[in-house]
Amino acid sequence: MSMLPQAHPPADLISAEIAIVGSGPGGAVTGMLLAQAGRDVVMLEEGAHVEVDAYRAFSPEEMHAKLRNNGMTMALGPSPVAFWEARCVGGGSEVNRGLYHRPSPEVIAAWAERQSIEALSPEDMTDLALEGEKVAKISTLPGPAPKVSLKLAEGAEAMGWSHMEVPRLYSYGADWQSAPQPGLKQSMSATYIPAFVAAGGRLQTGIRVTGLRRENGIWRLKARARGIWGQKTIEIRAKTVFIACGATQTPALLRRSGIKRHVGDSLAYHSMIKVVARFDEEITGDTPLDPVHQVKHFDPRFSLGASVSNPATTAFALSDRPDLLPRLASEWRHWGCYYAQSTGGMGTVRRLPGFEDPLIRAKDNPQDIEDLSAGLRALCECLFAAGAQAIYPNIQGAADLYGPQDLARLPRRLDPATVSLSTLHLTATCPMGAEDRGSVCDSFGRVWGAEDLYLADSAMLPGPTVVNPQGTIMAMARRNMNHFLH
Amino acid sequence: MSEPFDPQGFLPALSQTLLTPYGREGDGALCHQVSGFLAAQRRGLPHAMPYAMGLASVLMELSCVPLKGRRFSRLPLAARVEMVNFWRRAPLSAIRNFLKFHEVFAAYIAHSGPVELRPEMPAEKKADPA
Ligand SMILES: Cc1cc2nc3c(=O)[nH]c(=O)nc-3n(C[C@H](O)[C@H](O)[C@H](O)COP(=O)(O)OP(=O)(O)OC[C@H]3O[C@@H](n4cnc5c(N)ncnc54)[C@H](O)[C@@H]3O)c2cc1C
Repeated sequence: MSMLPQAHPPADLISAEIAIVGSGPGGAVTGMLLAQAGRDVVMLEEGAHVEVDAYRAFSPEEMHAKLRNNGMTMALGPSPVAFWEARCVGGGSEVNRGLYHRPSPEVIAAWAERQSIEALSPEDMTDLALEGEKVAKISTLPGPAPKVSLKLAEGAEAMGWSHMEVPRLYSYGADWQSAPQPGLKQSMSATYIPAFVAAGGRLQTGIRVTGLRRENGIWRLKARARGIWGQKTIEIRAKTVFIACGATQTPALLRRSGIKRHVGDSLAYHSMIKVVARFDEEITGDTPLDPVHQVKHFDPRFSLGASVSNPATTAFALSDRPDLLPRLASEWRHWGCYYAQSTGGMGTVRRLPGFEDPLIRAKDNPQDIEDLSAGLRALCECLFAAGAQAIYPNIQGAADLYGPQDLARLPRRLDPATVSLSTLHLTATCPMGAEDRGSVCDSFGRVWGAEDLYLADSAMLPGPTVVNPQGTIMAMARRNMNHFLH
Repeated sequence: MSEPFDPQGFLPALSQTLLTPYGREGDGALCHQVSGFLAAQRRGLPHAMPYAMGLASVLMELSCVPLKGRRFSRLPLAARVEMVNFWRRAPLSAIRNFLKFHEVFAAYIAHSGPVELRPEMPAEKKADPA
């Protein structure tokens, strides 16, 4: 049953004291706190509301219903980097796996220093995360983790590397084993946004904000309805605006609106490369629970993790190994998907005249490729230590590996031209900080040189989060909102 | 097994050909699903890429005439399989990447179970409103 009221077509003119653009983790936290403080808020979301459990995770139906461009988004460059970006109520929290980390103390301390951010401390961020966890609950798995996940832990144990079961934004009932879905994801559409609406906030779905300008002390937002509402132009008037469109769309909207200084100059992302490992025993399909283990031993350079491994997702993990695809149907229960993820991806976001989609470019960063290469090697070592019989790296023309002796056959340094890189974690296109630090907004998200205009999402983070980003985005949005309200 | 598949055009013909490694080329419903999904994914590509894909399709469709005497979509399945294997080893990376794009999504749909895409969802291609 829906936790949100029936969607309604937009009026031609919408007025509110505060407008929030985007309903992902950043926008949802911001909206709930503003509405609960009694402010008159409208939240504008381009996508539709789709029930969090309406579709199987990573299914074609989910891809089309919840992802921008059906999931066909990418950063171009020496090696194109594919990424997914949500377009639905709740943003990325609706499509992600809900793996949850509190903000990394080391990362927060480094941001505070590098960007001269006022009143930003690791301790405060942990407290803010704890506050947030009262609204969107986190939990560890209610039963044994899937074997595909435990294999990673087993390998790390054998190597003497630290590893963990990452908690998730999920709530599980006592009946999780017999329920159609083994738990309810604590996505924004299931937690913060119903709380926003309950506190009097207005949610308008199906409209895309295309530009904003300030006139006589009021922000005028130009927007376009489409999809189920048909094509229509809308104006929104608000005294204060929070932009929370995500790491690529926030800079695109600012640039469209003539705000360009440092905007989109400093995209940061976690680069990811996948392998498929074959084990003698069946390791997938044993439980409805998702893999949750990560090896964080090598932070901040790279981490290792286990991915959802069903035949469809494994097809993606073998995108550069089409020769293996015909074996998938009969062997998939023995195959697990794993990733190595580095933290130094860099790029830019620019408006491309004539097109709605911004131009996202991945820059060549030799250090990141080096870290990813080391991560790939460590991942293979770990999986062999866990008993893998074969490892298939997702690299064009790469050799299959049959034991630790074959690790020497891995490229010492990955060639960006032959690997399929992807990312799910993009940040820092409009970083916070002191004005002389290349920042777009101040220590609390207010855009430099623009009155009553704030950022509230992954775009404002000053760099990569090193851990899965949603917890950090939500804690930062809460921090900045506390400052705004008090 | 559902009704036989009679491919009309390049994308349906390619979809059917890409299902041969899984022995599913005779599954008409699956061929339709793959073809529809590929078309939607192509429309979703950013910037001018959908047009580039369309152009590439025309060129590949016609490139079979000098080699095999007929357009790709008019070739019998066995000849289409040969053409796909030929493109897979093409010296031009653009051709290999074009094939990889279609191959991965075909494999994804073939292994996804029955798919029901909502008709209103395909990413509409958009001009810049600003
Ligand atoms: C497949 C996947 C798996 C992931 N797994 C994890 C995980 O396990 N753990 C984790 O911590 N993180 C994960 N992430 C990353 C995490 O989901 C994102 O970092 C997070 O959602 C970003 O939040 P945000 O508020 O910045 O923006 P988003 O979540 O991107 O939300 C932005 C919203 O704004 C809307 N919007 C954009 N432009 C406009 C406009 N012009 N007008 C109106 N609305 C607009 C969009 O439709 C979208 O709903 C994953 C991401 C993906 C895609």
